[in-house]
Amino acid sequence: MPSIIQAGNAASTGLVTTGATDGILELRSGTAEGGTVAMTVDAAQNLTGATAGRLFGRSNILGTVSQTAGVPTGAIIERGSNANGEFVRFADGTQVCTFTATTNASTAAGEGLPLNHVPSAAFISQPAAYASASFYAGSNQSGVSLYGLTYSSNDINFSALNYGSGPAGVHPGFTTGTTTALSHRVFRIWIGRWF
Amino acid sequence: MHIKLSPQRRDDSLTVSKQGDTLTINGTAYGFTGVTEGATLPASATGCEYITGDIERLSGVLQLTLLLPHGVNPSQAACFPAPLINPADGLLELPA
Repeated sequence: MPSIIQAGNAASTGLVTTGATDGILELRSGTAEGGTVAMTVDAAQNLTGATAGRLFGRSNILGTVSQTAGVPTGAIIERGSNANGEFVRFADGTQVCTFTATTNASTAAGEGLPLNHVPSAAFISQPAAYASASFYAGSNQSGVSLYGLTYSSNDINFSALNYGSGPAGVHPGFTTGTTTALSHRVFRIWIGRWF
Repeated sequence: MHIKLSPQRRDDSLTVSKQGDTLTINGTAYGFTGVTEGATLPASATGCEYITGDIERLSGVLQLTLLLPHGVNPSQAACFPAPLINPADGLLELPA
C-alpha cells in the first residue's frame, strides 16, 4: 500500500519515502527505502527524474516530443535548427518551420524563378497553411513578386515572378519594370502537423 | 557524383550505398545513367522521398540532393552537412 513515510522508517512497505536529505521528497520503486529513486522534488520544488509524460516541471517541459497513437510520450515543446532553418514541435502535433534566405539568380522582368525548399523538420502531410510573410525580388529587394506554392514529397515549391524592381515604396503596385533583378529574398513559414 | 545533403528533423533514418550511377536508398535502387549531360530529372520522377530538387548532370558529373534525416540533439555535422563530392562506391558515410 503506497504511503508517505519518514526517513529511517525502513520497516514501512511504502512506495513513497522521504529522502535522506531534509526537504527532499523522493519517490522510490520497491518496497522500502532501498528501492530505486524514481523522482525527487526538493524544497525549491525542483523536479528531477520524472519520466517525461508523467509529471512535468521546468526540467522536462522542453525536450524531445514524441507520441504513440496520438498520446504524448515525451516533452511538451521541442525546438531545433539546421541548415534548412528552425523548427518548433508541440506535443499536440503542431509544427512550425521558418527559414529566411536570399536566392541569387538573374531573372529578367516577367520571368519566373522556381525556389524549392525543404523545411527543417518533416511534416506528416501537406502543411495545413503556409505563409510567406514577405517575398521580395530585386537587387534592392524592393521589387514586387507574385508567387505560387505547392507541396510534393517534403518539398515546398515556390515560383517567384520578377516584375522588375519598382521604385522603393511602391507596394503593392504590380508594376512591370525593365530592370533585371538579381536576388529573391524569401521569408518562409510552414505551419502544419508532425504526426 | 556530387551529393548535397539537406538536413531535416525526422523520425526515420537513411542508408545509402553507391555503385556507379546507381544509389541504393534504404534498400531500393535508383539508377541515374539515363540522366545525360545537361538533362534534368525532377525528384518527383524518382518516387523516392529522400531525393529532393532536380537531378542533373553537369560536366559529366551527376548532381543531386538527398534529405538527411536527423533526430534530436544532432551533431553540427548533421545540422550543417557538407556535400559528398565524388564519394567512393559502397556505403556512403552520412553524418549523424
